[in-house]
Amino acid sequence: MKNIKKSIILTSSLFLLSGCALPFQSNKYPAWTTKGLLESYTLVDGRTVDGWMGLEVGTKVSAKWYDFTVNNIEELSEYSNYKASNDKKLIHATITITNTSDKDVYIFDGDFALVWNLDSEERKYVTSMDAFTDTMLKNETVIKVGETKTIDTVYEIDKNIEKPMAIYYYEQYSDGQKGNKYYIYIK
Amino acid sequence: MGKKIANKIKGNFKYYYGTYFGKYNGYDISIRYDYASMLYNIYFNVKGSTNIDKLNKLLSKIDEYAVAKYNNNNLTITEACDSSKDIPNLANNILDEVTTYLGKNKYKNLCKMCGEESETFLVDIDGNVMYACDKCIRKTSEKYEKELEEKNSIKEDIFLGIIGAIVGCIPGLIIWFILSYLRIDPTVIGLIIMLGSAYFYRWFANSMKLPGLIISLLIGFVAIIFANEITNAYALYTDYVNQYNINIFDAYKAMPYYLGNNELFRSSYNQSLTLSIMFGIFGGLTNLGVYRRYIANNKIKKLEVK
Repeated sequence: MKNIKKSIILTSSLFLLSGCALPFQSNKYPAWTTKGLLESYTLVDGRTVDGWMGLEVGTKVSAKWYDFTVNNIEELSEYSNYKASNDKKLIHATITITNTSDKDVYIFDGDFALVWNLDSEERKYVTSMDAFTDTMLKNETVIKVGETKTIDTVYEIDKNIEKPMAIYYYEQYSDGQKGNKYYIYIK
Repeated sequence: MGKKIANKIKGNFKYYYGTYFGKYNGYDISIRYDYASMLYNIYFNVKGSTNIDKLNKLLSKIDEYAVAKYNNNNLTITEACDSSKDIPNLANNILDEVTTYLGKNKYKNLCKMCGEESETFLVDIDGNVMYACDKCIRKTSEKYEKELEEKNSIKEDIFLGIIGAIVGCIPGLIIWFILSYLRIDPTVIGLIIMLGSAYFYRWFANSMKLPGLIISLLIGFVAIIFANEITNAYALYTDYVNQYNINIFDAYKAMPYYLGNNELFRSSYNQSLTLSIMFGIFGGLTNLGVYRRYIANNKIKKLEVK
């Protein structure tokens, strides 16, 4: 009888121990960083388009006209005296951008959207809120040749939206041709 | 179905493990249907004249396909029968004729175990049903009790047994990983893993009782599942390592996602898991075999046949 009890306890412990490995596994989109641009191709005019890249926060991204780095991401209920409404939360990102082209570049309020449902065909997204601080992303922010600017983006999203999410940048040429997509994963 | 057929046979027949047992006119009888040859056999344990020509003549009058054979005190009547449902109709005539013949010719009913003439009872010895005399029942029961006492005196060290079973799985796991590295289907190694868990459990624990059997089976199956997880994680890793900055642990973590979203991966995972578990079940027979060596066998139980 004693032996049976002992064996039950030991077997249960074994199962619990093997079960400890399970929390490591997840059925969420893995959001692995890529080793470069995936699925891209080159047009006859030499432009590389339609590729995508997954990156981590803190990694410098060399896009067509500028380098940018999402320095940090934080989840807040209040940012600069702005309080998130009920059942909402704020995601705040700080992004440093350096113009690497030979022309002044414009950053638009639609750039650097926050996307989620990353494994879905129809990913949901939200752009940064209208600027209410001096450092927040404004429409047609100019970055001069060689200049480096650090901007803040703030997104208000439902509280129940879960990670992984991503800060998303999509290159767009002036002739309407779309370039490559960049996802900076928030895990 | 078997019980219904048994009730229709003369002499209060009972159905156990695919065979009908009953006593009729003082003779112990068992009847078994052979689905492959579409024949049924009626067995008697009787001692008497070895010449059964007259009996065969009698049988041929009832059914030209009914034949009797007598050898080593075993009398067997064989008759063609399209379905087991027809057994009562066919056998009832044969039973009347044969038992009357046996009675007239002074054939003696014998104990199946010792072959001596004596009153018999229907008994179940570890799933083997037969008619045995009181003396044989007592002898078997005493032998069982003695064996039980002996086996119970062997102590089983469960803790060491668990360590042993885990250690025993390691060689199988190594072979599994080598084969999968060489891109050879490793699922058959489930057998070796179970074999290792059983023998090493017994070696370390010095015995294997019921807890040992359960533990060694569990450890074996956990090891098989673990091996399958690792090899599938490795397959996922090799598929994506050229495109993504990942290590094998990243691939392992993402397995549920790929199981849910990648049909090719899901079918490969399920196939290897099913095959390895099946081989594990076959291997589990080893654990059962080892276990049976450490328990008392041939427990005898009288069955009620009125």
